[in-house]
Amino acid sequence: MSKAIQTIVFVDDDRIQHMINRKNMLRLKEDLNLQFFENPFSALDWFASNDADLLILDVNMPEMKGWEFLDRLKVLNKTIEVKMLTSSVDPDDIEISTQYNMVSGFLVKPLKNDIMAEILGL
Amino acid sequence: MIKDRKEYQILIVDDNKGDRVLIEAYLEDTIILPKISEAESFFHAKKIIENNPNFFDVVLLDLSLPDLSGEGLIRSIAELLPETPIIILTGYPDVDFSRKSLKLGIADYQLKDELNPLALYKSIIYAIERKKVTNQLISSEKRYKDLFQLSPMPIWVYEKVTLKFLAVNKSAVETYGFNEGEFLSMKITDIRPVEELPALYQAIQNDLSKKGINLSGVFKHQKRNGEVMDVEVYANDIDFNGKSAKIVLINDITFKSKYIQAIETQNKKLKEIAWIQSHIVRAPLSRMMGLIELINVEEESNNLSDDLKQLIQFIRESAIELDEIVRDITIRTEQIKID
Repeated sequence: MSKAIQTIVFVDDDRIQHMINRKNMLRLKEDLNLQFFENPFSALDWFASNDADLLILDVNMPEMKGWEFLDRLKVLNKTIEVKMLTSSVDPDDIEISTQYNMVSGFLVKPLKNDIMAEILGL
Repeated sequence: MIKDRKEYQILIVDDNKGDRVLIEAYLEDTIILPKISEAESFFHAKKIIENNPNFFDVVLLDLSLPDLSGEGLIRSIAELLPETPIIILTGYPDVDFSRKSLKLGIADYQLKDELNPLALYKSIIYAIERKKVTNQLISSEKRYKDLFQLSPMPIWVYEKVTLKFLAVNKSAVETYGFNEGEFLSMKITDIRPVEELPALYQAIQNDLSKKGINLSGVFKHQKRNGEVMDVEVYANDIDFNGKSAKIVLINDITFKSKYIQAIETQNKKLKEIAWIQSHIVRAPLSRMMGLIELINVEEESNNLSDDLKQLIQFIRESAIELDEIVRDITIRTEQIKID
């Protein structure tokens, strides 16, 4: 981790996971800037004028696949560290992820506090 | 002179009693025990033959009987006794007819005037032995014809140059629905859907370099009713009546193909179910697990009763157990593979 993570964007259609993650993350580090989006298009709008240190991105969303979201981010010339969020790690998804340099790993729902603490460098 | 000791059953068909007596005398000169039956007419001969089927070793036949003569007589007797040699004894030399009678299956053609005991005996022995060989050939030819015709799998022969069918067996007729005549007026290109023709020409090209029996491949063939089948085709080179040809055996694998397709479809559905398990079913479960962990953390600051803590612990264990079950189902489904 080259620089301290301050701004984290969550893109996932699961509202309850957002609520759980918000509570857990703030408990880990209370001054984090957390952005939660249930709709990937709203997230892309936000990225048009903002930057983040880490993107936690759901693989399977009804509006678009996580991969398509990454393609659209590339168009915006964004390079952000990305952790793919999934209910279950699919070998096909790992295969696809090799084509995306931004992706540094997979996280299985629900997010575990110890793993998140490690990512935050705590 | 040493006489033949074997017992011969001989049928003499002649309307002239004097001739019959003479022939019998000749026979007795060379054969110890000629068992002679006599007939004066075709009708009479027919009755004797029908009463003693497969009984005579040889028939001595006069060509002109009161009720039947010439070619008609020969055909009728030969039909009654297909496996017995027939020797014609006639009073009139007719070279053309003698030649023709041989084509009709007659063993020998003798002029009564030139006959003597030894010549007759020799003619009879030769006729019997030759007929034995001919009968063996006929039965061997029938045996091989049966192997082709009665094969439960479709077999045909086609000419390499023209691609025309030269022979087809019963199973091919039954399987494809074309009768033999239709088959023999067709080419092997006529039993395929048009889009299959390039594959056929390619296979024929490949075949040129192959020797011996080989699996030409899996093709689509079309029946007379338009139905298309998946078939495995085995071929071998054959010289067929002087033509360079291929003998081909067809294995209908339509059922097998359909079966494999059904399994593949089923497998795909299983994978979909696995995906639903691991993603859709697990989504609310992971939410529950997240919530339980949250409660666990919150409980430290709140003063929950021991009973409630116990209940939360049970819910947590149940959720973890359910999570393991879902993962197990996913792993098992991913292991399903068809080679």
